[in-house]
Amino acid sequence: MRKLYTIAIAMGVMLTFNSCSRFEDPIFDQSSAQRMNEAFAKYDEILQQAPYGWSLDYYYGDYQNPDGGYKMLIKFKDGMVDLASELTANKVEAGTIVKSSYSFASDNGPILSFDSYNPVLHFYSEATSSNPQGLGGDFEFILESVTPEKIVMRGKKFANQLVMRPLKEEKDFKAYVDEVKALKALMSKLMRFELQNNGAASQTAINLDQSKWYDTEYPEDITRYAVSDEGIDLQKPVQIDGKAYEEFIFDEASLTFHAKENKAITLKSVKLDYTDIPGNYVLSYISNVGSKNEVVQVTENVAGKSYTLTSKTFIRPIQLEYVNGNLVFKPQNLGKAPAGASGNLWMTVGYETNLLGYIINTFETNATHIMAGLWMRGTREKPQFTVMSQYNRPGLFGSSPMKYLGLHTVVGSSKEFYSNEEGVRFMFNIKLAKQ
Amino acid sequence: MKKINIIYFVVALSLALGACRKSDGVDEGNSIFQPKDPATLTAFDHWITKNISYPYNIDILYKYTDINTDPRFILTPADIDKSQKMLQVVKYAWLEAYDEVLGVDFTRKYAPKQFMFVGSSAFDSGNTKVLATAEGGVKITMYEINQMKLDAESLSENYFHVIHHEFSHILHQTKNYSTDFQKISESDYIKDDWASGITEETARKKGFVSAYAMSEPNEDFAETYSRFITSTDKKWAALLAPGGAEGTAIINKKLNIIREYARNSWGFELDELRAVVLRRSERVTQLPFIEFN
Repeated sequence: MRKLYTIAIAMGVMLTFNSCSRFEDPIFDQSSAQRMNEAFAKYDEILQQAPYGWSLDYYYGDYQNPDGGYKMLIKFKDGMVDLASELTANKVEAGTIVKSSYSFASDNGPILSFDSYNPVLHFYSEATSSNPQGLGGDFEFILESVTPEKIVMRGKKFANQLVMRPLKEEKDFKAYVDEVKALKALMSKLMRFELQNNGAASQTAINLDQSKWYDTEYPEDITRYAVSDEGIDLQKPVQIDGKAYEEFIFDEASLTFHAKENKAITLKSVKLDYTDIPGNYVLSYISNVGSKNEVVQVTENVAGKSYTLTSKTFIRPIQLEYVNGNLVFKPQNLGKAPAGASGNLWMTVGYETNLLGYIINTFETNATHIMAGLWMRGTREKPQFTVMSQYNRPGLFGSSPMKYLGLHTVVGSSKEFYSNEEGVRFMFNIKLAKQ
Repeated sequence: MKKINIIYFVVALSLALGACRKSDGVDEGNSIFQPKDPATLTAFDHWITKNISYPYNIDILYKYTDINTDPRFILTPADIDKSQKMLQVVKYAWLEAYDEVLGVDFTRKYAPKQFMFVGSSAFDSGNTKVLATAEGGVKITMYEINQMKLDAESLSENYFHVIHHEFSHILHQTKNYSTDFQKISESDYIKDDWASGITEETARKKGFVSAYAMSEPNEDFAETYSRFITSTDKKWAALLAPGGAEGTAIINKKLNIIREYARNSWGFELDELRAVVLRRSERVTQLPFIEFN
């Protein structure tokens, strides 16, 4: 105890001596308050002086797995903004301008705050009694870097990184939003892109799938993007041959993106034709009775539209649809259940399970939950498909959706699982590799 | 020994703190609290200065500032147009009601010094929502500004009631009410349990004007005060009815203590204030609202 007091006294004495150096050289010429106010004046000038306004890529929710990005368009003028979004929110049509106010504050650093209600922006921050966090969107942002070319900021409560870029030409916000929608419609028919540097094909393929950019070899490593009027803007830069890129321009005629800063870096759309797919495949998966694989046959069914997959796993032949070069699995009725069980046997699709391992949200006569076999690896001659959920609904066990196919019999409205002869009721991590 | 050590330490510390007084250059010319930029002041801001801040010494925070809001809640800012209407409503139906009964000096002196407007509801995890809060008699935060409708009934129920409620806390924190009040229902206060399964009928039968009033005597006081002065005779009778003769008798007992408190501590008649509040609440929707642009 006594030692402790001695130390305390020693510290007090040290403080005494230290604190009295009268010749302290200030690092800054001006006080912190003065510097902060000057920084705000400068930021405000940058915001207001972009002649055509800014595009903001809005992300919300868990910053490790955010939702978005959606484009918002903003003009700043004397404490007020004109703001529009590509999404209809709070009954405000996409592209409609709504006015509200903004200001600067200093608490967790310099803050840009949208401080009066705007139904377009604050839509993502509205709590309800069942969801006190709202959608996890911010409207106060810590300014991390501010230049006339680019503003990087971070949401104060939910910590998503947002980027603002100045618009390059005078464009009606509504017209901009319509161009985003048109480009999104076009992109929904594409997915896989071959990455090329100066025309030289690399081994790398990139999927652009519902605002997610990922290398098909590493589908868990996702970079989010927002669609602009001329291409895509990434939330964070990606490294290609040792350089960072974050904006890509789309050319509709060649279905190719090129990096804005370097035309030699291109992403060329590739997809499998209907006739590329039929053949023998190794179907592999993990199931309730462990890892399994089986050689299965994929044959043409309705020309240009569907295939039949014949296997022991699913007991009966199942239908797969051909959609934009991918295979789509929908819940389907496989006919009367085998002897010993009544009702119909269904192949089902699920995206999460409850704690007992049952699949939730599986039985649907109109498929709203579908799984798609995406061409992730291999060549055009020998493609390998990974079966993934086409819905980004968080599962019970973390942020990535659980992806299941299952089998069960349906008797009236109640569900009963049905096992194939090896005891497989449901399966995940499903892959199809052509032999 | 221990004592002496502490004294040594205090001496050392005070030396440390005191030593540098001369070289501390406090920058008094600049504030981190920015004065409002005159370029961004709107007609509404000037109206507030002239009609609220100068006469009543009240600051109106209608724009969202994080530091002035409760970090437990995810909130949205108030809509500017709704804030403009709400402030005119509050001025007419609340500030000027006290002006009329007690004189403007009273309102000036005791009204909270800050009003914070928040757009959304404040939902907490306990399945309840906070309607308004008063902090130390200084600041009142009003939620749900964006849901405001210019309808006498809904204004009274959703906003006037809570402002009177919060203001009555300021009154009793300044001059306490008779201890006889808390003796009336002494054994029936249940703290936070009011939110779990107490029906309004049960509350009334036990002599409380609302379930929330059962939490503790100060809330009981504020609820009884505010419910009474914001309810018309008809509404008040309807409020009392589920309690039957027994419940009503208890509520009237509490009300009489509040009447005496108003008369003896503040010099006004509760029933007169109520008449003024009700008249103004009724007329507020016909106010010639100023449209700011």
